[in-house]
Amino acid sequence: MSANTPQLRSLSAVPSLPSDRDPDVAAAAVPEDLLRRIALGDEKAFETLYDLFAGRVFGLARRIVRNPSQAEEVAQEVFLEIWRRASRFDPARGSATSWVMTLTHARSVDRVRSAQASSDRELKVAYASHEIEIDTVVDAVESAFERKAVQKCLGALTDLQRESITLAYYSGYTYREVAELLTTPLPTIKTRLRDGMIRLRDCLGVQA
Amino acid sequence: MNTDQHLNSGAMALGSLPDDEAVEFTDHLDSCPTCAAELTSFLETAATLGSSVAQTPPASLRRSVMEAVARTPQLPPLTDSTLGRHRQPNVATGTGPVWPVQEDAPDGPLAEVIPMRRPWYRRPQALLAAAVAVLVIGGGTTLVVANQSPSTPSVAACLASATDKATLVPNVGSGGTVTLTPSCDAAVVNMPNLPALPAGSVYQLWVLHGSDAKNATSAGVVDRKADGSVTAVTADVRAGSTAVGVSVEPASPVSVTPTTTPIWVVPLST
Repeated sequence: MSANTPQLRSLSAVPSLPSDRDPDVAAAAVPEDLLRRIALGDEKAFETLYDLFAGRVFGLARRIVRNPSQAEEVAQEVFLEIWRRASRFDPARGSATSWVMTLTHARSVDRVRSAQASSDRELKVAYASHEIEIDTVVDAVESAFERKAVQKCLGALTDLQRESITLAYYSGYTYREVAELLTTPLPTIKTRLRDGMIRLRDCLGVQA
Repeated sequence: MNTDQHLNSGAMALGSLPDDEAVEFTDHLDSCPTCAAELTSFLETAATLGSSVAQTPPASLRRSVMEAVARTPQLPPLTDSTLGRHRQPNVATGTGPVWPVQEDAPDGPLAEVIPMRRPWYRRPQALLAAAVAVLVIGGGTTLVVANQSPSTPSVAACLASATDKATLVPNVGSGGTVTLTPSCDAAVVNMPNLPALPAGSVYQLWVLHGSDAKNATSAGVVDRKADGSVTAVTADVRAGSTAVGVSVEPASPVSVTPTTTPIWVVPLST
C-alpha cells in the first residue's frame, strides 16, 4: 500500500487541473485520437477536444454569422454534431482539424443562408461592410501563429484571388455570388478560387 | 466536362459550390483520384483559414455544450456488413435524421434522441414525416418526395457536399439505382420505369432492416407517372438498413409491412 501513497498525494494536490484528468486522455491530445475516444462515449475526451477547438469553432462561426449569440448557437450545434458523429470520422479522409473546421464552416453558412432567405439580405450592402469586418475581428488568442501565416499568405495572392477566397470562405458566398459581387465571369472566379487555393496551400505548407 | 469539374475543387473546399454543382463534383471525385487528393489538401488549407480567426468563446458555451452532450446519444459507427465500406462523412454533412436505434444496433441500447435545444435543421424532416403520415393515411394518394425538394434543405445540402456516395444496383428486378450516402443517413432512390397496375394496387417503397423482410419501414407510395417513369425519392436509411425495395400493395388500406414479394430490391452494401 505504501507504494501507492505518493501517487495518491500527487493526485489530490491538483484536483481540478488538467493533469488530474484521465491520463490516457491527457496523453492523447491528438485530435484524431480524441475523436476515436469520443466515438466510444468518452466525455472527458470530448471536453479535451472542446478545449482544443472552442476558440476556432466559435471564431469561425462568429466571423461568418457576425452575430455573437448566433455564433454561440452555431458553435453549440457543431460540438453536438461532433459528439453525435464522432464514430463516422475517418482519418483516411483528412485530419480531424479539417473535419471539425469544415463542419463549422458548413453550419455557419447554413445559418447565414437561412437568415438570408428570411430577410432577403442585399448582397452589396453586406459587401460594403465586409472590408471593415476584416480588421475588427482580431480578438483571437489561440492562433497567433496561424493568423500571421494566413495574413502573409493571403497577402501574397493576387487581389482577385484574395477577394474571391475571402468572400467565398469568410462571408459564405457561393462562387456565383462572388462573381456577381466582383463583376467577374463565373469561370474566372472558379479558376481564381482554385489557383488561389493552390498558392495558399503551398504558402502555408499544408500537407495533403 | 471533366476539365470543368476539375476546376471546382477550390470552390468546393471553400464551401461555395451551389448544391447542384456540389453533387456533380462529388460524383466526379469517384473517378478522379487526383481531384479527391486536391480537395483533401484544400480542405486542410481552408481549415487553416478558419483557425486563423479563432476567438475566445463565452464561458457559457462550454457549459451549455457539456449539458447538451450529457443528454445526447451518439450515432453508431457504419459497419461493413450493413452499409459497406464507406468513407468518412464529409464534414459538411450531418443533418440527416436521427433514428431511434433498434435493439440490434451495434452500440446497444441507445435511447431515442432527445431533441436538441435548437433543432431548426431537423424541422423539415419532422414536417416531411408528418406529410408522409398524412399521405399514407390518406391511402392511394401519391407521395412525391423529390430529391432536393426545397422542403428538405438540410438533406439536400448534406447530399450535395457528401463524399461518401455509393451507387448501388438491384439484385431483384432490373434498372434503376440507389445512391447511398451514409453520412447523410439518406439514399436517393431512382426506380426504373414500372408497369401499370390494376386499379386498387400501388407500388410502395420500403427500407428493410436486418434480414427479415417483415422488418421494413415504409418510405411511401411510389409516384408513378402515366408514362411509367418514377420521380426519384430520398429515403431515410441508417446503419442496420439492409435494402431498399418496391412491392405491389393494396391502395387501401396501406400496408405497414410488405405483403407481397418485392419486385425490385437494391441491397445497401457494396
